[in-house]
Amino acid sequence: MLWYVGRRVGMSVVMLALTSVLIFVVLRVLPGDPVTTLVGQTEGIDASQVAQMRHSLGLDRPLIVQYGSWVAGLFSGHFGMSYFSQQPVQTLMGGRIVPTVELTLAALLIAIVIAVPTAIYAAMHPRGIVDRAATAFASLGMSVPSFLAALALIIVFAVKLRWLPTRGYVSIFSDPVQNLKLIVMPAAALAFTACAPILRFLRGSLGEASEAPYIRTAEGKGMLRPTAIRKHATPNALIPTLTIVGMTVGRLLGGVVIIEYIFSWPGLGTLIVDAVFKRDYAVLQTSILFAAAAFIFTTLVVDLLYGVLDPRLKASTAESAA
Amino acid sequence: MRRSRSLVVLLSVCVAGTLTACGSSAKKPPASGNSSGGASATAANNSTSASPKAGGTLTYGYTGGGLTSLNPNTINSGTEKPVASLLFDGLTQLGQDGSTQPDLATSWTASADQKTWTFKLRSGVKYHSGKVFTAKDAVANINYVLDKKNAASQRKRITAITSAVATNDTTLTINLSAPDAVLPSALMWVYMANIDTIGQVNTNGDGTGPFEVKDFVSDDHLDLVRFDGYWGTKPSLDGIKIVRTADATSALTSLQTGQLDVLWGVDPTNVGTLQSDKNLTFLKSNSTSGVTILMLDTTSPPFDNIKARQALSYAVDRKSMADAGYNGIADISPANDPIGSGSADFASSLPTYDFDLDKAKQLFAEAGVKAGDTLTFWTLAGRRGEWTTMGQILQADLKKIGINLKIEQQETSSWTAKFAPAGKKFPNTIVMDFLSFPPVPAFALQFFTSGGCECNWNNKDYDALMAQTLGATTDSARKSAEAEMQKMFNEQVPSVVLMQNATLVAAQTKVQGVWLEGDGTPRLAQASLS
Repeated sequence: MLWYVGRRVGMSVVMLALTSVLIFVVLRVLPGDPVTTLVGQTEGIDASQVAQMRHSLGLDRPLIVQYGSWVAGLFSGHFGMSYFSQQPVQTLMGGRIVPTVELTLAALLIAIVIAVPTAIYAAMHPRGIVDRAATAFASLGMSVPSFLAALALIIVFAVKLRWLPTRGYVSIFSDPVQNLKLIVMPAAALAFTACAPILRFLRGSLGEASEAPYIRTAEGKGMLRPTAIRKHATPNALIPTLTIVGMTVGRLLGGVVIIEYIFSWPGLGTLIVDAVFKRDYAVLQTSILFAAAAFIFTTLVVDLLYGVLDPRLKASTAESAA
Repeated sequence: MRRSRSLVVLLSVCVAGTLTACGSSAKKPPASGNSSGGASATAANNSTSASPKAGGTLTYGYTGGGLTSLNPNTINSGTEKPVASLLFDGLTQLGQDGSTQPDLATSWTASADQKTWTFKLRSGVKYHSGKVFTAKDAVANINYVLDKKNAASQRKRITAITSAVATNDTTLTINLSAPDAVLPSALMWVYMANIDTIGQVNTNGDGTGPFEVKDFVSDDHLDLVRFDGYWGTKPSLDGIKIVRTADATSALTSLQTGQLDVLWGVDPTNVGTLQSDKNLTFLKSNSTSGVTILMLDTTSPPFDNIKARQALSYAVDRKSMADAGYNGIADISPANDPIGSGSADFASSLPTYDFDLDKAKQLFAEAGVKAGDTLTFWTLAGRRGEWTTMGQILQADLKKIGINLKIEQQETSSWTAKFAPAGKKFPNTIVMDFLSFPPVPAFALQFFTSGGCECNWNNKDYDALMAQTLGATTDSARKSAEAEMQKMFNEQVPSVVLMQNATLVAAQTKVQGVWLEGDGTPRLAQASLS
């Protein structure tokens, strides 16, 4: 087990290192740079002043030197300064992480709360109305992008009914009620697409598990089928679903960007989008690396959890070790 | 040798529309009104019958790029402009009628040669931090703007300053290398930040303005509260909440549902929706100082040839573009003039470039642009959708004379990198752009002097006329020089001016006291909620 954990952690570190190189290089390949964006259209600025500013920001150094400087900064806790706001990257990110994590967790919670009971009920009553509706909902959720769901929610709940606000963020600690009002629509829009794969996969896993010999055995012993599914099939089907939940977190991190933009939610997503448009390298590369690290960490945890929960994996790692 | 307050100087400055406080009264109305053209503005909703009430918080929303920094002297986007006048003061300020009015300077005089200016400053003015404002702060801020290390957009208009000296706490002397009759106007946008903490001004906004910073999250929101130590007319509002709504549709929804009181940057396609909502009003400035132009590289083919530039000016259907792009809320510029026809300094006798594809075809052919050739239309992606619409109109029209137009949409950084800063070559390319000028007509013309415009038009005759304009001692001399510049611009077409227009601003009808600068920048300091 220890070997398995060590291998997975090692792979995560390598992935993170490769990601950092990729982010760094791709950003430099894009046309434009922070100085051009910052002062390019300032009246009276000439090329020599632009070159001077580029020099003072260290952007004229060889790429390998710039990369080394950034990585060294990451290890020493200095992530650099935004070229635009002149604030430290950790300050900018610090204020954005909580709203993004809050929104992502809320969306995940809604998705799980809807998907798991619905899938179990649908499996207990195959081809029933709930099963059919769940299948249709899963197809819709997987084909409709979250921003479309967001706009539909805004039209209904903000424009027509005027129940919910369309924009902004208030900390849960300063005003829990307003926080709840503000998070409902963005979280629901995200959950709409996050829910679908969990529901679809779990329903499929439960379908397979319900045909397994141990269910027939349980039924043969007199256990009712719904009870057998709930008690025996569900725990087995939930284990592979963990992987889907882990992947869903990755999808949520991607989808949160556009949702934050639509609802003016001041999270990492809007920070990243703004930094892309401005070529704010320091903010952008660190924020993306953080998001990548969050995703890699989540999949790592899921994999490790999988190893703990699945006895077959335990056995195979034990055999490998032997 | 200085001579204080000569009659000649007094007249020249007043007629230039820059001197409104030739006396010492702080809020004396301008002697010459809006004679220099300039953008004056009113809020359309000021006329509502409901009476204003004191207090309350106004929520001001904007779309597009975020509010990144509060440094008032390195403003590089329209979103930052309204904030500067709430937190900071200049020595002079823009009047609602487009004139130059006293601000931290109560009066000013010039020497006979207009190369030495003396400003009397207000005493007892305090920064939000409690520090007292003196002439030394004025000197430090002027030097900050002049320092090439800082990306100060106002520098170009005050480069004639050779030194600024604090004679005493309330007297500032500015020495120039060349006469400049519009110096007080140029100083409107040199804001007096607390230079002692200039490193933090991007976040603390420590100025002498009517509001101070309560909370600021870069690119998201800025909460301002009334500064009770403000020296001037106290604001009615308790505070202003400045919020960003990046998505234009979402922003409109926020306005319609009452979550925003004022919205800057309304998508022109939403004008109809706004006009049909009885709770909303559409704010307008009386005249505009913003221009939508086609930027061309005058040093690369084919637009290094005047005929190609003239051909393009004939090929653009300005009326259709204004109707389709801005719902008709724009004044087209068939005279190809950066100064709007509403300005007193507009040269009305200029020939016009009326839409004429036959003439365009002939001139293009003479310039070597033949049927089958392809030009690129360089515009923004993700915002300014109206530019793409206008590009499509031009594309269809050029197709009729056999010229292909490839429309390329790019996000801001890639778009800017193609043609900025001035000096870059961009052959075969037509860049769609919006220029926001200060209200003094001379400044619009000054943009096109050598080294200023990304169009790379370096014309020594034009530069000499600019010097004449700045040094003019009479109204007629200034207008005459400006008219020559406009004639030259009209003939040589360094850029194709499509129309004069401003960023669109909408507000709830309950909002009063908001007025707009000529480019659509809202002035919110005296706003109130009825």
